[in-house]
Amino acid sequence: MVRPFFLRPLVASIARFRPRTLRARIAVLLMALLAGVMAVSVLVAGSGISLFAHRVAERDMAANARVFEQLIATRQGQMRESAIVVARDFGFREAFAVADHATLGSALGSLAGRTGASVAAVVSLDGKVVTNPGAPALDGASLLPALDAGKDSGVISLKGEFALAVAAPIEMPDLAGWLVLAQPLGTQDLGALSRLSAVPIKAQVAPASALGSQQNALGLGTIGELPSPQGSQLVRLSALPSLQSGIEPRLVLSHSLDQAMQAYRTLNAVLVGIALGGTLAGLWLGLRIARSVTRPLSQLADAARRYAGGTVAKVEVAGDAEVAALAQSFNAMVDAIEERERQIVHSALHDGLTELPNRRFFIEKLDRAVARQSAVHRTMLVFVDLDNFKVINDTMGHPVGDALLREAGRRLQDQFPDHMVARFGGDEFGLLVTGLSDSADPASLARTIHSVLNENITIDGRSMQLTASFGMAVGPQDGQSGDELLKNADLALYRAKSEGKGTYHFFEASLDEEARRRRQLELDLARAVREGDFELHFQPLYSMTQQRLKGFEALIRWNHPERGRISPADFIPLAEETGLIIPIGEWVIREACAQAAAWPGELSVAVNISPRQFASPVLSQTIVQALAASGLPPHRLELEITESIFIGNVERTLGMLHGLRSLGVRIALDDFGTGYSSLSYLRSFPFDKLKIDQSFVRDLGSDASAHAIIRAITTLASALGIETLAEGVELEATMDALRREGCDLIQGYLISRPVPAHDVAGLVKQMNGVGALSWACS
Amino acid sequence: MAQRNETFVPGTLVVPKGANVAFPNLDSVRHSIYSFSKPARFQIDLYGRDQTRSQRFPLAGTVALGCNIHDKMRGYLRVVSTPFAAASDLNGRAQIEGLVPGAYRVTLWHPRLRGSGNEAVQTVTITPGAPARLTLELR
Repeated sequence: MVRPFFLRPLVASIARFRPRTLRARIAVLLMALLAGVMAVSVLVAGSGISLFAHRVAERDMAANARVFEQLIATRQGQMRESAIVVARDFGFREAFAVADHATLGSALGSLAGRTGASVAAVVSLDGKVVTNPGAPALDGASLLPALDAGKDSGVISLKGEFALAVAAPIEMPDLAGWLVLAQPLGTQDLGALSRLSAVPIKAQVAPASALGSQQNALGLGTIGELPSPQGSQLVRLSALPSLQSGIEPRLVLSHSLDQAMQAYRTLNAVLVGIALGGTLAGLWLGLRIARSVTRPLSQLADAARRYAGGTVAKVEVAGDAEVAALAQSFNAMVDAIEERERQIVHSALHDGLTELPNRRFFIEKLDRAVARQSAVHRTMLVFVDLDNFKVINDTMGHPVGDALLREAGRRLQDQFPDHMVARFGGDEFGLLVTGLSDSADPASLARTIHSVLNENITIDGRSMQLTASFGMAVGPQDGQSGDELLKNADLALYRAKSEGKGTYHFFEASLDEEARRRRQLELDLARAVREGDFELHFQPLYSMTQQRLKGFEALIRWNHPERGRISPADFIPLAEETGLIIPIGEWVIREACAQAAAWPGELSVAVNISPRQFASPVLSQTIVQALAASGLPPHRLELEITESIFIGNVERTLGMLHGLRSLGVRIALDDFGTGYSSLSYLRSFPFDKLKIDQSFVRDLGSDASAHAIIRAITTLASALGIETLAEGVELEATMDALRREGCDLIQGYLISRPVPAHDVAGLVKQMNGVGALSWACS
Repeated sequence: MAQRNETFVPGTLVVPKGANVAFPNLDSVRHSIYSFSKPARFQIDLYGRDQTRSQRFPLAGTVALGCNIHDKMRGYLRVVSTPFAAASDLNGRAQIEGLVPGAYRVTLWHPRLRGSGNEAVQTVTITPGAPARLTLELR
């Protein structure tokens, strides 16, 4: 597109301006458009007016030129009339014929007076001139060519000034000369001409030679625009007929263009005013339109900004249909986002199963509560753990377990409707009691919780006992931060759990200390595993029927580099908990086998296998490797397991046991009579040995029922072909009683304390005599 | 030199010096014959139909005749002092009798001839049996 040249700078400046807001852009574009249209209109109208003015002026001038010619022709006509009359006068002709110059002169004088001519002259055929007295000289010869050609009027030069001349032939009857009348073309005539014209026109007669080159270049009869000191002028040149050779008179009509345009200038100003007004109106209109578009937009943007800032911001549904629809959509979007956000927040902060808040939500609330807590506005954090949940889940199925969890949560929430109950995951729950006054009694709250969480519940028509343990911490004395309160409540729960099922415990400072020691112990234990700080001691197993040692039970000892010897009762549960029991157990098996391989005869070694170790898939592999490495015959290795391995998947446990048995090792059931003692185990797996728990053995002297139990066990065992061994025998009387009750083997201080490996040989020699000798020799 | 239909008839007349020329008026209007020519300056007052006026022309030369009443009327008299003169017809042919062959100075006159007194002087050689050709330049 070819833009008009005058729009180019406008477009360029607009492009440079480049408004950033939509509103400004709309307004500017609209204004620019209007301004452009207006500018074009003004220019077109202006040039049209100018053209029109030019035309009018030109027409006027042409008309004036004609008027002037007419004027001259009229004047010449009058003069010629007079001249003709005189030229035909007989007396005048006679005077001329007889060359009576005096008469002729006076006749010419009276003619000049009568006609108002300044010169009246007779020009004879040979160019001789007779004029009226006092008239300026006339060059007759220069008139002859024109006169001879028959011209009867024209301009001549009189003393350097132009004069209008007419000529009448003097015939008598042949042409003998001409009567010439001349009158100066004075300012009077030209002034009269100016007065006659409609527009102020300046008329001037000048010789062509005296005109400027521009004027001469103009051409005759055409109108041109020429500069002058008074501004631009319209100029028209026309040739006047000349009666005298050597002169070229020109009528110069000039008309000030400024004056001609004066009238139209007002019109132009009005046009420009209208254009300016229109453009301003366009700007105003553009701003209005732009505002009607951009105001809803900026309202939406503002609402969106506020919404992003977190406030629920909606916009008013008003205005034009499109705008209202946009506002409606925006509001619908806000609602939808709100709803979705609510759902996301809910699922992020709630537990799907129980619909209770989750741990994260709980901790957020806890942190807020802790921030506000004080001595008279205490925070109580209760950490709940359902007892035996895993057992219930495993034995009764997950649906029951889930129902149990829901029921426990519901009960807790029902009891404390104003406080937060959350499920932490698994079978753990949290209860946050806030705003506890200094007079409130946490202990009574604890009792309430205990009663709620420890009662019979019915799930799917089955009644079962709900038991739960919980630990409590009360801020601010038990913790200044949420983390601390949580940790301390957890410690209290741990303590409660360790004290037994269905119990609770408040946090005490000692728990913290205990936990710290436990953690240290854990670290030390890990290091001991790495550095081999363990040692095996062996306690003899004595056969009362054969009167000799049958074997040893390997017992682990930990020689702590700083704290000395640490009891297995202290670190085995910890090892079991942390999983360190696996490497420890492997070491025990290998060490026991290695030691026992050096023992004489058929002395066996018994090793305790913890439930966790039993569950390890590498146990049998470890045993095979230990036997192979030591060369110990498999039947001389005895694995002692406890009944707890049967908790959970019995089938799997039996499979494991049969697998171990197939290696050729013996399997003893330890601590028989405590825990889940079930005769069904004995029937389902052929144990090689039962180890009667020392609690029965200790009571043997004082309690008759202990006799009955031991007798029942030994009778049952011998019927099933299982050996029996009594632990913890310290007195001869006990041994005698056991022998009477049919027990096969005993173990205890009566025979010997556990001894270090290097004392085993001596002990065997002392107890078994000959066998020891042969061992000593080997 | 008659006046008929406000015209001199014939328009040009060659007369010898001292001839008396009659101006009969054959029109119904009256005429006033005049001349401002040097050889004969005269004016004849108005005279009517079928009246005749006469004028004697003692000097040789051209006499332009006009009528004071009728500006258009023009007539010419050529008063000659030689017997060898003639007026041409409309075709420009004239015949002069009695000339012997030889070279002659010829004066030509015509009212519109360029030259002083509307005359031109040329030299011509007359040979028997052949017309001489003269060329004029007219206005």
